[in-house]
Amino acid sequence: MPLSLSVLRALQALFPGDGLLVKPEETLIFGADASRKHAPADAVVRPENTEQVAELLSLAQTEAIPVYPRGRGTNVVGGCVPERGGIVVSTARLNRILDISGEDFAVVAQPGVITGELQEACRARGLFYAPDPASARFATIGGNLAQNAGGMRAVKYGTTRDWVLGLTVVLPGGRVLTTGSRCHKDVAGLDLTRLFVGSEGTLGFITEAILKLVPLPEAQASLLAVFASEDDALQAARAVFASGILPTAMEYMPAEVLAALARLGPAPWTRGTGELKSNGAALLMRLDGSGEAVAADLPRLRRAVESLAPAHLEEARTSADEEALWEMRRQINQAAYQFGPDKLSDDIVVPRGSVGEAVRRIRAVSRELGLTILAFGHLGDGNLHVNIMYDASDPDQAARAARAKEGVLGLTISLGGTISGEHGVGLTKLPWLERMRGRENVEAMRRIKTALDPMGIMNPGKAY
Amino acid sequence: MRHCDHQDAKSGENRKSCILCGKCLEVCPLYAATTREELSPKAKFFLAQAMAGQTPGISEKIALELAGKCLSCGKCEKACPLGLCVPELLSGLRAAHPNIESKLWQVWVEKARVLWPMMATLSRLMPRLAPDGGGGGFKGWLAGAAGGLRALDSRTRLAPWLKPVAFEACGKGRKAVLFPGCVAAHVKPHWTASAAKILAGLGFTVLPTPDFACCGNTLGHAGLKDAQLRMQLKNLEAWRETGRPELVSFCATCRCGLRAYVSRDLGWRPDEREAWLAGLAPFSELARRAVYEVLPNAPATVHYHTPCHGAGGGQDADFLRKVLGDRLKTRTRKNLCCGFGGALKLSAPELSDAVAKRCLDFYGPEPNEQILTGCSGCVIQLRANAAESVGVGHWLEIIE
Repeated sequence: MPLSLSVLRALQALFPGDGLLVKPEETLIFGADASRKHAPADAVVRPENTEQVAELLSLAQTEAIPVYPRGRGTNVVGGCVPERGGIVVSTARLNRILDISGEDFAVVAQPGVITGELQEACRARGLFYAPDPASARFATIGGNLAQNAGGMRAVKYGTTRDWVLGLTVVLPGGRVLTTGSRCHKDVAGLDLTRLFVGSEGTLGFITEAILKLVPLPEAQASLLAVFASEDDALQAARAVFASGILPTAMEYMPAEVLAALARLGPAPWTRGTGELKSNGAALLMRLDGSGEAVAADLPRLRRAVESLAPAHLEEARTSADEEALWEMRRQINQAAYQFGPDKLSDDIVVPRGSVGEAVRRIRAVSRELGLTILAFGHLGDGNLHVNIMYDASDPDQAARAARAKEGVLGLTISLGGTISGEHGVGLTKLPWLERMRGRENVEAMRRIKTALDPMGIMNPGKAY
Repeated sequence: MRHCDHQDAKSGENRKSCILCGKCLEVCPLYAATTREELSPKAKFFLAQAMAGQTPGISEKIALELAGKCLSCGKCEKACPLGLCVPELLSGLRAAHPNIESKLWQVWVEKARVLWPMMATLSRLMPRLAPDGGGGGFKGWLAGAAGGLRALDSRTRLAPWLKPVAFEACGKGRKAVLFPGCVAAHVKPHWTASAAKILAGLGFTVLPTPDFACCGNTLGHAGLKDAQLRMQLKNLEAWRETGRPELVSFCATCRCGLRAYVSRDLGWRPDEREAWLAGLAPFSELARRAVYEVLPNAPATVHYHTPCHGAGGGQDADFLRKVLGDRLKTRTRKNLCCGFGGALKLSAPELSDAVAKRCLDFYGPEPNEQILTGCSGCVIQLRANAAESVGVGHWLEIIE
């Protein structure tokens, strides 16, 4: 239902100039995210402070208008799509870092700050914000908080939730809640901070976050190892942990991914002719710590993987050399489109001991249905990105892709895993949540939502 | 080979559709300056898809106007995992839907000889013509354009502070002709004179400049492909008549535009493409063959602005670093652009100026510091937007 004239007038008063968009040509992009799903927004607003958000959520509650928080629309499960019409709230102008404290080891930021820029600003002060999702350079802290983003360094440092000390959240109706504090330990009352992180914008609108920092590790280094077979790579991963090393990151790339990346440009695993050095799989690992610790651990890491006779082994000790390796890893999601114009994307997690089993069973699904399925990613913490590539314009392929997704998520649940390690549930995984969690569990989530959002206006129809 | 005119024949790739990954937001200077996602590359591709699919409620006129707000910097193409390029998209859209904005630019470039000096003079009268100084409507537009026009005034050059004291004889027995480009040909003739002096110092025989037209680069961005082709053919013919000497350009964007000629069917004769490209390296490759002395009037700090087009392998910056040492600051960001942006300068000067402001804020020049660059458009734009006390110029200007 389009917005009434009185609502539009109120929005105009609240968001002057280009702070409000209503022309369909201008609002078009705000109806879509990286899931490539789209629904038209009735309006888009760009608040610049918490007060504007509070007034907006008061108006939206009174008028029962759905509200959709949006960073840069990089969510891959449809979390930003305004499925029921209403108002998209862009955080693009809530984009300031308010304080970086080397005394408190805390950074205070608004949700529209780019994660990579926050990391850089802290790094310049000798401080470290560890969560590092692949989209860090173009996605926002707000989106990371809403989805509890993980990323490459989660194996050692955990996910976004582990780095949040406190939040300022505007609740539907306009009340402003501050949760947590600058304290690094705080157990007083229910942990509302951890409740809002990962709630996918369904409980309130975060306008400020206090994030934890640690001293910047003095040194880091990376090691790329390409193995003759998938089994060798998986065994090498076990060998690394068995040697007593906890890497900062441990990423897994199977043969299809290595081939797709090689087609984007020169890759370490190709010869001059463009031919792959191996048809196996690769591990990309990183260590950090003091200079002495990294210097001692890198040869240990190398020895651990050398037991599996890798076809290619490459160390990167300078930031430029490391960046070249990690940029390859960040390109995978986009490179995947070489195997088909459409993809069903999942980010399953299985108990770490079951990763090998999961990889083998996913490959069996791929063979059975005749589709390319890429399973890659954060092997170190059991989190695999599964991209089922297909052509949606071919009804047969679309049907097979749906069956493949069913197969992958089914086997994940049977292995005691979860349907999402970091992307969230959004729209695209919603049908699976109850199957995994059970009805009681999902109903409990909905009761919590009702307590905070009685009219159900915050990002409705998503997550649970 | 990719060129800055963004018109490579990527026939297969052109059909790829944007996957909305958002990587372009990291590099788009227009998005960075405005925080308006509707102006981002991904928004433009999504809008173009909606137009092609005739999505209800989308007006073609408004959509074109919105999509057309682009700086043509080409940074999105480098960031996009699929190699999608907004200038290329727009070039096609504009050619299919000619509009006022691109026609305006066509007049501007085609009539450069007449218009630019005249408008540079007129712009000094602007305060009287537009007393509100920046309001809406035509007056507002005039006021926005006035700063840019004032920058074209040939009297505002930087005082030279770098003196060539010795030259290598690398030009002995070689013939060269300078391609001045619109700005130097019409309002900054001293750039051409400085470049000619360096060439002569190196021993080149510098032939008289024939009647070259605009390189045609911005016409391509504006979708004016016929006009672009006319200018390309005219320039090729002028070069042939001069005896096909080494063609030398000191404007990064012109050089990039000229290099793109060889990927077009312009009726090239055997071996002509190689001869055309022979001299089209960054001008600093030649300038560095001299030894310079820094004069006492040199500013303490100089900022280098990298042009979006034609920066090659960073030769200009390397040359300046070598000659100027620590006084040169080359700090940059992925989404930095002067905001000149071809047709955008005319159609949406307020957006163009917002991009320039962000760029200048990043360099943060103090009074009496200078900003040097190697592209005519960047000079005009930054000079128009920088504080009076900050010198802005082509790096050629500092050479005596």
